[in-house]
Amino acid sequence: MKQEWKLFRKNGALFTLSLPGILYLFVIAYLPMAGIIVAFKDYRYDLGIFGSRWIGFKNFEFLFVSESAFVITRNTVLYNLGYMLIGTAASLAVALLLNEIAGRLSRFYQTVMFLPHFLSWVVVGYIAYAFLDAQSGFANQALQALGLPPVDWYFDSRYWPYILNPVHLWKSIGFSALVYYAGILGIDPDYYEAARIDGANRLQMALRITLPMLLPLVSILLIVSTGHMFRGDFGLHYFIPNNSGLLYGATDVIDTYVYRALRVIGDFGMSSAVGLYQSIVGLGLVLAANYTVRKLNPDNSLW
Amino acid sequence: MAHNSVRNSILDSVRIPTHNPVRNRTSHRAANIVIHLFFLLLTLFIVLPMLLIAAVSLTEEKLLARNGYRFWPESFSLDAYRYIFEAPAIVLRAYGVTTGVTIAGTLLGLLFISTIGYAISRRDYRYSRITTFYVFFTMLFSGGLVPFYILMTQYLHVQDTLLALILPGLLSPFYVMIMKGFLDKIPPEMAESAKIDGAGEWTIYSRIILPLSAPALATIGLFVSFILERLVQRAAVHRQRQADSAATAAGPNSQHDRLPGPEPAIRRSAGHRRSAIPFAIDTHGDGHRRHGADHVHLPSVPTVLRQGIDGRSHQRLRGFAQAGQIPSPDRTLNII
Repeated sequence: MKQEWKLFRKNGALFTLSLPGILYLFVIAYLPMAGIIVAFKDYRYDLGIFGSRWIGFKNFEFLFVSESAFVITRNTVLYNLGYMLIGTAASLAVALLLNEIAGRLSRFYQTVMFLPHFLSWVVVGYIAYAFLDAQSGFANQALQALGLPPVDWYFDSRYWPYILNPVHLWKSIGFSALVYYAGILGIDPDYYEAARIDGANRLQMALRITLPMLLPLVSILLIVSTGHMFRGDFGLHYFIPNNSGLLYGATDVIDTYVYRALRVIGDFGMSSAVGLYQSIVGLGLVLAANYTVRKLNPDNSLW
Repeated sequence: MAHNSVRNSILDSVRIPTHNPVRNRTSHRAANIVIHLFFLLLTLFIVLPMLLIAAVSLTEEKLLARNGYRFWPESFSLDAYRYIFEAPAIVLRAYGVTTGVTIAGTLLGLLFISTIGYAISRRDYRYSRITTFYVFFTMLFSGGLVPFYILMTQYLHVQDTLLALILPGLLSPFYVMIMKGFLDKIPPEMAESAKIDGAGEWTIYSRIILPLSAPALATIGLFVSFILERLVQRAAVHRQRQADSAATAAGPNSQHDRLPGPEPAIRRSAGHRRSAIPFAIDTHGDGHRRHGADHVHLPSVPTVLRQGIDGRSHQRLRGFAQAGQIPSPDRTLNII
């Protein structure tokens, strides 16, 4: 004990240095973890977290018995899979192509692609509205100009998977392409020089050097995103469909559902049950994904 | 522009001839055209939606009702903007709040991130592993929104204050990991020799580590706040210029000092492959790897993660450390 105290004294300065971060995380991240018990309680404002009554798994029942449980889980997972696969493939392709061109134009493309990243989902929601509004929207004007019947976009859920995926890509491609592009710039130029001496062409270099060298980065980012598989993008799924009730079947994700439950019913217990469910499944998915990747190739795993 | 042509001609002369240069060059050009076409389409895909909303904002109200949203309005009107600026107080206040929150949040966040990142990057720190886990675990598991909301409103009572905007995003474990990845590359000898000279941990952190990690801090700060982007960029460009002159002065070919500005071709010919800091804002409009130094257009996670402080400045720092000579804060600042 005395020994340990001595060691602590020796490391005290560094510990003090890390103390602000530790305290911050304790308050912001670890205290709410204790609040998870709300998921097993009938939470009441006046009684607080610890005064409220224990009700076991009732809150979970409420979610899983409701008809929406299947729909919102399916939507969340499928959309996230779509975003993940389309986003990764597209931004990898863009990064590889960016790497093939030099000069001012390359910089221009990067800047342009990055622009939507600065917009909030609320603004993007208005942009989508300018396209999709039934009367004045550009999409319907274009359809009519082509002699096709207009579509009530905000009343017809069929089209929404084909709207949300491109919108997500539109907003995110610049950032993720840039992450991969930066990864490419980090590759040692010697590989390319050696390949060039051996007579490799650009395609061969892209596929045989750049892509394999990027693989660890790709796999790490994918592992991290599997952890968010059960977390819907609230902004995207709330503002782009304009919170239109008729679209819930195709656009509602767990997060938007919880938000409405919290706002309309004011049920804290159920909402935090959903939060706990997302956290646990997310943790499980990250562990599983990392385990799988580590089995395949330890270099590509997160830890 | 002049730099570019100089650089390209030097590069062309050293380029290794391939089997059939003539055929190669034509196919090369054709491929380039296809790639540029692709990016042209992509640019349209990105820009057109934003143009539409800009056009709508410039269209007269009446026309919107009659014609709908169009890319090219029949007549332009600034009414919408006039409406906003009739009461500029609201807009100005909003911008004031945004800027204030961003600046305060970024600075505080960077302080938290860099201190804890530095502590866990020190291999001789006894609690490095457990602290790493402590930070990293919050990335994998969270209490969820509701307990967080209850905490903020019922216990911390920050609702309806600016603190509610600043507090939640100060320290992301992801950024701590980036910071650690960067700091791992700083040779431990630096801290050790400083300690021998009697510097405490706080001095080492504030006088050596903090200035050295400016690139990583800039990157993370950029992520933490995009509002501050331009300021940070300018700072980074400025620092890059300083770095270049310092690097050239320290390098073997100090006669290049006289040449203005950072010159990748010359640095390359002097055997400098990487810029003195792992990333820098590209000052030439050309960050292509094979055509010069490693300038990345926007500071980025993986670059900082992968390169940290690159080999050359590594050696330079090691040199200082071995000579038992700690660069004075001013000197260190100059290097960065």
